Amino acid sequence: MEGGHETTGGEDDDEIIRKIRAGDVDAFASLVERHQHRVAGVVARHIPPSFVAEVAHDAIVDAFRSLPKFRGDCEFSTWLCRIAIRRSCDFWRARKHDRDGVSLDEVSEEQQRWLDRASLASSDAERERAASQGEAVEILDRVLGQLGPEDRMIVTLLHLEGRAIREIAESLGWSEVRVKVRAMRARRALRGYVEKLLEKKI
Amino acid sequence: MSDPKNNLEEVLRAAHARRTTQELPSAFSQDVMRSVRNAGLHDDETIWLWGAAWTGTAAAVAIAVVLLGGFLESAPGSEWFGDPLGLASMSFFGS
Repeated sequence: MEGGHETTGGEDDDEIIRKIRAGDVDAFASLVERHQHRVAGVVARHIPPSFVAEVAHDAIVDAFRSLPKFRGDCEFSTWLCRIAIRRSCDFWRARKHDRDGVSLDEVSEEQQRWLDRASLASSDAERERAASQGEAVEILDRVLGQLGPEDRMIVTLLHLEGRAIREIAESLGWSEVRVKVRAMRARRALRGYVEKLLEKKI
Repeated sequence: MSDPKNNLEEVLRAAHARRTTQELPSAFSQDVMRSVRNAGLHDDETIWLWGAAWTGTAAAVAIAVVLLGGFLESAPGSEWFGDPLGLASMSFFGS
């Protein structure tokens, strides 16, 4: 997620930001071109593919509006990715009632067979093979769909991506203690859903 | 034999790592810039100044209403044209 001190044509992010603050709104286009794919990459890890462009768009516009608050104590790209993560969380908050319709009980025969294979995959090669199949993301999204917006973000950032507590706290604008408490709860919930899926087949 | 729950979690973690970013629409950056030009900078000082201006305007209107109420009540002949808006009752001048 962290970006370097990027430059294009001799201008780094800080110089462009100074121009924007001085009233040159069009200078922001350089930052969009430079960082749009990184933002989309962050968003794509949290949001269904069909909504990625929309959420990435909103995150970048948010960043522009909030530029006066950017103090430069981290890379612009890091700050932008934090906004993208918060926007992704907002996406699920706005749809928190949708998860009521996602059930762990409605697993297809193909998904059941995949669960059999995945739960027995003990080597890296077997895991990678199982992870590459379409059912893997279907089951993953079904499990994540059981979680609330904040728990979903915590599980994704901490347990699936292995990010540091401090980094997550900065991304979500939470205290580290709050992240730890939510992480424990979310982890327990995730474990419960995985068990429930396996109980159905064992 | 390894724990099925752990195996499944590891596979789900690997599945997440394989999520890929699809291409953004070709007009993505132009769309963003269009929105940006309409948005304007979200400057705290500007917001504060606008808030102060609106509060000042609202206070001026409220004072004008109270003064007008007092004027209508005390004006010569007010008993003939009355006070259709009921402003006199809002006056600090009393009856």
